[in-house]
Amino acid sequence: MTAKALRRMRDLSAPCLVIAALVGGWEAAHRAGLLPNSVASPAQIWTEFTESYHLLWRHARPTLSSAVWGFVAAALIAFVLGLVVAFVPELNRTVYTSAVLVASVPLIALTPILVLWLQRGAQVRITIAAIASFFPILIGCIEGLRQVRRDQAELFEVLSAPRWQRILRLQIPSAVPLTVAGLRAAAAGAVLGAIIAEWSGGGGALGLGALMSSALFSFNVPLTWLTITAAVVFSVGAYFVVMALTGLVSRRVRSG
Amino acid sequence: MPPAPESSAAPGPAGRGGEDDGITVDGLSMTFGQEPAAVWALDEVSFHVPKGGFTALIGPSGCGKSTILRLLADLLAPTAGRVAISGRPPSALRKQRRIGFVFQEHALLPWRSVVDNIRLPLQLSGRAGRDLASTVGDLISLVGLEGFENSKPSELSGGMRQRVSIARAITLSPEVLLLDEPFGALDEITRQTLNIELLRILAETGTTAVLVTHSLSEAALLADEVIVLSPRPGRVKARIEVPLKRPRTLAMMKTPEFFHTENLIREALFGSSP
Ligand SMILES: Nc1ncnc2c1ncn2[C@@H]1O[C@H](COP(=O)(O)OP(=O)(O)OP(=O)(O)O)[C@@H](O)[C@H]1O
Ligand SMILES: [Mg+2]
Repeated sequence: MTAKALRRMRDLSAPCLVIAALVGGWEAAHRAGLLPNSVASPAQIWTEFTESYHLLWRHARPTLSSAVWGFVAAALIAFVLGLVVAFVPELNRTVYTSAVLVASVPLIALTPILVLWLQRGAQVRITIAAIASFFPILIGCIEGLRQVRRDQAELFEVLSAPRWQRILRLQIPSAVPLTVAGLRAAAAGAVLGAIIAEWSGGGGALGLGALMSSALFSFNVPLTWLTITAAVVFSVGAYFVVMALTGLVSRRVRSG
Repeated sequence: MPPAPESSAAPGPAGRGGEDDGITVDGLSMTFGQEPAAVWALDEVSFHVPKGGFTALIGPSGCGKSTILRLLADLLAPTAGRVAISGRPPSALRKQRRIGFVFQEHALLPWRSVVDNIRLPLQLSGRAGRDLASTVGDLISLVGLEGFENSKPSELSGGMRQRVSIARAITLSPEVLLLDEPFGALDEITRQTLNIELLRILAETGTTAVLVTHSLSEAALLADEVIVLSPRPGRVKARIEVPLKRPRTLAMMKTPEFFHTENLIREALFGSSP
């Protein structure tokens, strides 16, 4: 127990040191006048945070909820498509190509189009967040469902297992690790997608992205940097939340 | 572990029964891929395993032993030649789930417990239900895994995993049991214990068995007939009858007949030079 805690502390200490060194270096560079005016120092960002965290939170809440719903929608659609491809392998190329196309659309340009179609609001932010996180989840699902050990596949063949049994009892459990990897890779994308949608006016005046753009265009350097910092923190946080949740699930599904 | 019972279904000596019984392999050839990259794996392999008999396949790596088992299990289709099990093509038996296969790396599903792995063939054949619990319970005691029903494969030793794998392969009482180096990764002590247990299980069930092995002593201890294969392409190089009586015991490994058989296999494999 203590050994485990110690190991945990050691594992965490390296990244903490790196972050501390970066922040320290940044602050020092700022004081030495090495950075342009458009870059706020960590101290300034902190002061801004203590003054306007109410504002920040009011804008962050819709962003986070859009990111969550977008992520969930993307995951559900990707799971369904992954299963469709598992049942009908001939569709593999079609689904892949369409997914690459969707993932390649510039989200900044897509937002105004969606606004015209869906009206401003949460639906646009959620859609963009879903599109931004969709691709890694889909790839994780499709590749995971294909990643079956040869002898296990032969076992199911010797036993004349119907396709649905093979998918349910072999392919889905085998797909868990890569699907989890895809979900983790997509977590930050959902947050950034929601911010992009807000930035380009998809969500109205509320949202972290909207706050960021209004701060930027009114030359409020500390507030701009506070929103940038918040975006980073939320993206990293999303990654860790997904990691914790999927860790629970995959331990239950395949303790092996 | 209960002692091996004197069963009337004990595997008899080779040659018993007609052509339609057991496994008949006739002029089996197998080529993988297309010219110029084709791999010629098997050339006119023929042998016969009588019903309830036990045949061992031995030969250097890459001589096509696993390929023969895959052809017997209808996992591959031969380029030429014929396989018949009780006079029927292997595909018919596979569709009726009458073939048991024990894989080299046990091929257990790591997310399933011991019982759930053994239960898998019942679930896949749609036979889940009433008699299920007793079948699985019997199998667990047959392979001596009482008390480990709910363990995951990762919590078992290598020998225990192979026991689960054998139990799973015989869950549906197959007509033939195909074993691809099932004990290859085990230490000598565990291997010999499992060898004797496998014979006991086969004697209790009367199953026809084909075993691929790299071990001369395992082949001599288990089989009625040992088929020695030569590589590239795989051909039958020699057939060696094992004169030991059944039920076999580990003590038989000290008899002159055993040494003689082992030496015959060795000579067939490596030639008579020392
Ligand atoms: N699916 C395949 N495609 C192409 N070549 C194959 C395939 N399966 C087997 N081979 C080739 O056929 C030959 C025999 O393979 P096989 O696996 O049957 O050998 P083996 O006797 O079981 O060897 P080992 O003792 O190492 O398990 C090898 O040369 C192998 O490369
Ligand atoms: Mg092999």
